[in-house]
Amino acid sequence: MEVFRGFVYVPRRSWLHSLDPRSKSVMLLFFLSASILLSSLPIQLALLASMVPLAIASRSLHRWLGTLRGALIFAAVIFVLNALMSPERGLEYAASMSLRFVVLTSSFSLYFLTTTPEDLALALESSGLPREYALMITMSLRFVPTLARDMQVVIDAFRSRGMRIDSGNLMERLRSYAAILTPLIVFEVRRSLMVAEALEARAFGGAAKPTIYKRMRMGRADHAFILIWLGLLALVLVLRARGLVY
Amino acid sequence: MELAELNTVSFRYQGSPDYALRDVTFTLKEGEYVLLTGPSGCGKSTLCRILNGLIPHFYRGELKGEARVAGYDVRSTPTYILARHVGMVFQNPENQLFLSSVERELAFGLENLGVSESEIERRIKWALEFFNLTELKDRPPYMLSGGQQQKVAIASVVVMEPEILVLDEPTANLDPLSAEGILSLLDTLRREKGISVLLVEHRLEIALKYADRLVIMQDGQIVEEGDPRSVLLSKRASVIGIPPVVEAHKVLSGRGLDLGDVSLTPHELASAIERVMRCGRRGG
Amino acid sequence: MVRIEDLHFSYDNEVEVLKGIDLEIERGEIVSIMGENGAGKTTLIKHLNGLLKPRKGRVEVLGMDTRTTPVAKLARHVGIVFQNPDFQLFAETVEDELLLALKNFGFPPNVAKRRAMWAMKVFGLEKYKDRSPYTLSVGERKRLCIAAVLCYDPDIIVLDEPTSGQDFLQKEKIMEILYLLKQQNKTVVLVTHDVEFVVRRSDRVVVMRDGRILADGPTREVLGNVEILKAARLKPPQVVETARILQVKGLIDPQCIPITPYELAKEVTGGRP
Repeated sequence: MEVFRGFVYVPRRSWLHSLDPRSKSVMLLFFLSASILLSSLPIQLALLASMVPLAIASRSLHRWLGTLRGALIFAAVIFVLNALMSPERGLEYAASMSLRFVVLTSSFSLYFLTTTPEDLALALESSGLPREYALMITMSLRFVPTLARDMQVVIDAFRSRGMRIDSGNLMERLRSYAAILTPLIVFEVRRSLMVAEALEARAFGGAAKPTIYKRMRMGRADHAFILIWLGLLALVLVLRARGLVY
Repeated sequence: MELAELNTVSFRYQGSPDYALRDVTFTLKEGEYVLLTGPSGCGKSTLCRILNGLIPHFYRGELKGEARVAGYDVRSTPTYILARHVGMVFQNPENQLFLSSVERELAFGLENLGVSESEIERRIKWALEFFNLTELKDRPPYMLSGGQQQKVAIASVVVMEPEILVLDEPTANLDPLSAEGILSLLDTLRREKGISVLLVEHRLEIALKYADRLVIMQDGQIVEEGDPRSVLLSKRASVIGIPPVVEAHKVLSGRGLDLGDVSLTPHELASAIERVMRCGRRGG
Repeated sequence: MVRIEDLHFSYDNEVEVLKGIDLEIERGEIVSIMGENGAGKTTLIKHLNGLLKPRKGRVEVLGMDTRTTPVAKLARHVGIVFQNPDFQLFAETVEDELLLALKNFGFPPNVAKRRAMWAMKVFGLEKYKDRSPYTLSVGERKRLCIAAVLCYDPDIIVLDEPTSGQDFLQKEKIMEILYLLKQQNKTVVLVTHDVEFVVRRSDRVVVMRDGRILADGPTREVLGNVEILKAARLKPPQVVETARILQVKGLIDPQCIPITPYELAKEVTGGRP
């Protein structure tokens, strides 16, 4: 599905890519907060429109638009549901609700197109997140290709024994999936034990505060970036309190 | 000097009625290269795991006897302390690579030990060169071959500068030439840095030539131990499968050729045969 | 039985993993496909039961074109046992594991049960009949996987790295199984890089490198060719290597290729007792 590709990091040379993940989190926070705090249709449109230059600057416009397209389908469903369930609020309300979904999805997409989860984990750890949590993020992602490969091996073995996976009625199919998952889960659980063992052997979990090699440090650009978005967020909150935007 | 000492050690995994190790006495000296082998289930892996405290801290159970490693009592020392002195490499490299690039993997253990950033940088540089991994510095583990992965796993442990290196069937998933490369690298490491090596292996043909001592285990006990050449000729060796050159050596000796000490490699055997053929059949 | 013509294959349309393979396998042969990791051995055998289809070229098994025959149908005739037993155990008990394929291929229940019993006996697994496959030791799980394929009697049996990670006694058991299969005139394809194992049990050796076949011939000929083995990054059997060194020094007949310790002894002592 095209929409999933919009959440995978694409290496590019752009200033947005080179910014610290934490700074970009503040940008993400702005979009999420603004979209949720303000419901009017023009605001949602403005938020979405303001992401476009960011997507262009990060050279990820094509992928980002892919997410947009995928999100619009869900947005249409939300529109129809709102129009039917709460007709008293009017079509404009339904439209802004559905657009909010698009804004939220697109802001996450912009974030993950320009930030690797491993860098995010490293940044969080540099800020004081305990090692175990940062490691959880990095390790689960690191093993995704491994799991995908293992799943393929099990499916190959399954089919080689004469069993079919994509035929038969629903019950039969479910049974096949369950049959494939059993050896896979058993193996991966056992693998996790071996990984834990190897972690111990690498002195993980010691009392000493671990060094962070090549820790992430924020620069001037990051500080400026954070200030801009915090400023915008403050502006939104003030205007909202004054009743000037809604 | 005794780096590791197990004295009449027995161990039973929690929930198991049988003893995986029974009255095992084992020592490891500085700079030694010991080859440990035996049928599946004989207790080799269990013995290894006592050396860095995985037993009894990670694998619970009943531990009897004395176990001292690098001066520490294993029972009362947590693994993260013993890991400074005992590096352990396991069979499947996939399960020992946790991070998204080779460089970060090499840094991981050192980070855990609290080593300074500049020292980490220095050691990583050394390791990348020694293990020939410099071009692969930024690669993620799934893009490496099995042999490369295992090299990274070994490197990540070696950078922690332990006095003892324990490897539990490190070449099981590798093809013969990669396996050969890794074991040769270990030997170089041993000679250059003075690290003691305990290698658990089934593939004796590749590993024998480096070993100072061969230990055979069976049913939780050490049943034969000593100079590899004499151990291979012992009766107990039948459970481990002697390499073809040793078999050939035995057959030829049985036909009256005086080939001297048991040959461990084709080159040794060929030299011994050459000597006999040039000088005459029965004795020099 | 198996005819492969100019087989080309790639997983992702970018890198070609098989670059024009031509191979024929006759009934009753024990063929070993050897090569380093990444040479394309496993990719090749997955074409034998249709798990993979050729990008170019043709694979024909017992007259069936693998491109147009479903895997389930080909699997009835080509049984593949993959390297890792833990990925191939799907049932709750050992007996059920053996019955699985038998049921899929339409064996009547009483016949299926008989075959399962036979397989368990042959592989020494009867005492585990009602136990979960996961309570067996690693070596036993490996034998169970082989048993699960043998019990439905496919024409061709393919074993992917049957000796990897096995200790000496376990390897001997697998050698016995191969001996049994040879006795029954079964066609066996082995994928392995264990030269010493191949020397003892294989009739024919096919050496692969980089998606191509470098050599294909009787075991003695191929494993005696130290240059080809080196080119494929394989180590020659220890006896062959010893003989080679002696031949280079002019000490034994350069034409012979001893592959067992006894043959070497014969060459060295000139056949004297």
